[in-house]
Amino acid sequence: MVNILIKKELCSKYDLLLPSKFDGGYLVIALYEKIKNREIEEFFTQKDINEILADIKAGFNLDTIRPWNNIKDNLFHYFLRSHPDEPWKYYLTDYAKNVVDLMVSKLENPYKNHPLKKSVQDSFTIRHGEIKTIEELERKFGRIFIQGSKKIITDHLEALEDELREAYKELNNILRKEDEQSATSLVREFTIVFRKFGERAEDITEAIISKDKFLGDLLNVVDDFYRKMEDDGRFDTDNVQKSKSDWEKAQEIYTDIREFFNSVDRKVHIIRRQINHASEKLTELQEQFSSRAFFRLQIKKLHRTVLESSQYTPDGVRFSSNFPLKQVVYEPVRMLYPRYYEFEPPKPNIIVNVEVDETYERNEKQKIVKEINRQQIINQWVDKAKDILESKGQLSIDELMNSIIDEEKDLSIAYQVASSMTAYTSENNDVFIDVEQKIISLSQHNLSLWKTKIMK
Amino acid sequence: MENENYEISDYSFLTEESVEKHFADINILLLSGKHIDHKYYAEYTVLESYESQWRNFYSNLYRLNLVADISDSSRYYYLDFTENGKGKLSDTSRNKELTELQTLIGLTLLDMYYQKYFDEEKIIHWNDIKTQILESDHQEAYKRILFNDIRDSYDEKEWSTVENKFGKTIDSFDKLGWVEKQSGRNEELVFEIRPAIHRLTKLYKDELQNFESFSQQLKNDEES
Repeated sequence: MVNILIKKELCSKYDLLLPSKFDGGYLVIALYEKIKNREIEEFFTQKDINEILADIKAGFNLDTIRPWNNIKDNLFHYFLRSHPDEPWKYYLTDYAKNVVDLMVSKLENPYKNHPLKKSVQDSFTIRHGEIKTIEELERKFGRIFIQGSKKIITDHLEALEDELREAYKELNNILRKEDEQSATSLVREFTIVFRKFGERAEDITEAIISKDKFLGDLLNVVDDFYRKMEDDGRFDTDNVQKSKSDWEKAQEIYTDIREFFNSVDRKVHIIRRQINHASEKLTELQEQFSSRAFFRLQIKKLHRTVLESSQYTPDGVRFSSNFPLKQVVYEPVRMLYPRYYEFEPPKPNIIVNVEVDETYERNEKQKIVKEINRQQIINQWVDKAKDILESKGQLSIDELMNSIIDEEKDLSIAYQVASSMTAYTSENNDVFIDVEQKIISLSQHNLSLWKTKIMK
Repeated sequence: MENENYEISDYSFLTEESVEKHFADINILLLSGKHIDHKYYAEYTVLESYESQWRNFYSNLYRLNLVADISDSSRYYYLDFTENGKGKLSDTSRNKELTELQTLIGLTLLDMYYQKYFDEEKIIHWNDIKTQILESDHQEAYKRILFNDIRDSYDEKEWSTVENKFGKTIDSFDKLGWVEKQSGRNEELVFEIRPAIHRLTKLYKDELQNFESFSQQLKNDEES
C-alpha cells in the first residue's frame, strides 16, 4: 500500500520534475544556455522569456506555442523562482541547473576525456606515513567520506560502457554499409572508431594496477593497527580495548573498499572482454576484408531475394517464385514401448499353389459327363417302362432288361432300371408285383432272376 | 592425435570410455539434424577427439558425411547427405525440408547476425525483431509478408500471431543448433544466434555461387 502511494506521488510530480519539450522544457534549457553565455542576466525578466519562446516557435516551425501564462504555474514548482526583492524578475533554481547539467553530462560525458587511471589515483592513494590514527583513516576512506570517490569511479565506468556501446553500434553500422563503400575507406573508418578501444584498454589496465597498489597500501595500514593492538596487548594493556576497536574499524573500511573494487573488477572484466572480442573481429576483417565483404553482400542479396519471393499466408509464408527449399538430415530416434507383447511367434499361413493336371481334369470331367448321361438314360428307360405299364397294364422285368441290354449294351443300366421299377411298385399302392419262383437267365449275360411281372 | 589420412576401418573407438558415455547423445543429436558446437562441450570434445573414426562410422553405416565446418571462427559438426544422394536417409521420413517460413526467418537471422557482428554473443530479443520489421530497410517486405498489410503500427493480436510464427521457428532452429533459445515457455522471445546459422550459406551454395543466373532464373520463372 505504502509503495503504491509513493509511486502515485512520484507519478503526479513527474511532469513537474521534467516538463515536456514545449511546456517549458526547451525554455529552461535555453535560459540556462543564455545565462551561461551571458546573453541574459542571471535574474531575467518576462521580456527575455517571451523572446526565447518566440525563438523556439520559429526554430521548430511551430504555428503556435503555449504562452508563458499557461506554463509558468508548472515551472514555478521546481524550476523558476521570483526574485524576493524585485518580483518581476525570475531566476533558475539549483534543481533546474542540475537537471540541465545532468543532460549535458550524459551527452558529453565529462569523464570521456579523463583517464580512469587518474580518477582512481586521485581518490584512492595513500602516501607513506599519511595515516597514523583511526580518525585520519575514517576521514579519508570511511564509508560516508568515500561516497563521492566511489561515485566518480562508477560514473567513469558507466561512461566507458556508454562509449563502447556507441562504438559497437558504429562498427556494426559501418559493416552494414560495406557494399556502398570501398574496402579501404571502410578500414579507415573502422580504425578511427577502434583507436578508442585501444586507448581505453590501456587506460583500464593502468587503473587496475594503481587500484591493486592502493589496496596493498591500505592493507598495510590495517596491519599497522593490528600490530599496535598486539603491542598494546603486551606492553599497554589499558589501551588494548581502544586499539582493538581501531583495528576492527580499519578492517571494516578495508572490507568495504575491497568489495567496492570487486564490483569494479567485474565491470572492468566485461568491458575488457568486449574490447578484446571487437579487436579480434577487426583483425579478422582486415585480413579477409574483400572476400568477407563479398560474402556478406551475397548474403544480403539472397535475403532480399527471399523477401521478394515471399507471400503472406495465415499460417506462414508461401513462395511465389521457384525459390528452392533445402533439406537437412532428420532421423529422430524414436523409442517405442509396446504395452502388450505377443510372446508366441505367429504361425505363418502358407498357400501352396498346385498346378492344374489337365489330363486328370479332362478324364474326371468325362466321367462326370458319362455318369450324367447314364442317369439320363436310366430315367428315360424308367419313364418308358412306366408308359408300357400304363398302356399294357403289365410289364415283364426280364423282357425289359433284355431290351435295355440290347439297346444300351450296359447291364448296369438295365439293372438300375429294374431296381427303380421294383421300388416303384412299393411306392404306389395301385401297382403290384408278381414274383414267380422260376429262374430266368438273361441271354449273353451272367445274370439270373426270378420271373417277375409288374401289373396295374 | 589421429592421422587424418589413415583409413580406419574398425569401430573399436566405440568402446572408448568417453565415446561409450556420450555415444547415444551424439548419435541422437546428429541424426536429428543438430549442429554441435562447443556449447555442447562434452559431445563436441568426443567428436573432435575421434573425428576421423566418427566420419568413417557415419560414412560406412549411414552413407552420410560428418562435416566439420568453421564459420566466424567457431567450429561445429553436423551430418550431411553425400554428393550422390541422401544415403540411408533417402526415405522422406528421414530427412526434413525447411519450410518457406523457416527459410525466410533463417535468412533474416543470418542477416541480423552481421548487424551484431562485433558483439561477442549475438543475443536477439523479440524487440530487435520488431525493430527489424518496423524500421529496417526491408520493412515494407516484412510487413507485407507477415501482416498482409502495410501500416505504421499493429495491434497486440496481430503481433502475437507474428511472434507465434517466429517462436515456432526459433524452437525448430534451437533443435538444429542454429540458435540457442534463452527464454522459457510463455516468456518473451530471447535467443542467441550461433555461428552454425551459416549452414544456410552451405545449403544455398550453388545459388550463391551463381547468384546472377539464379536470380535471373527466378525472374524468368515468374514471368512465364
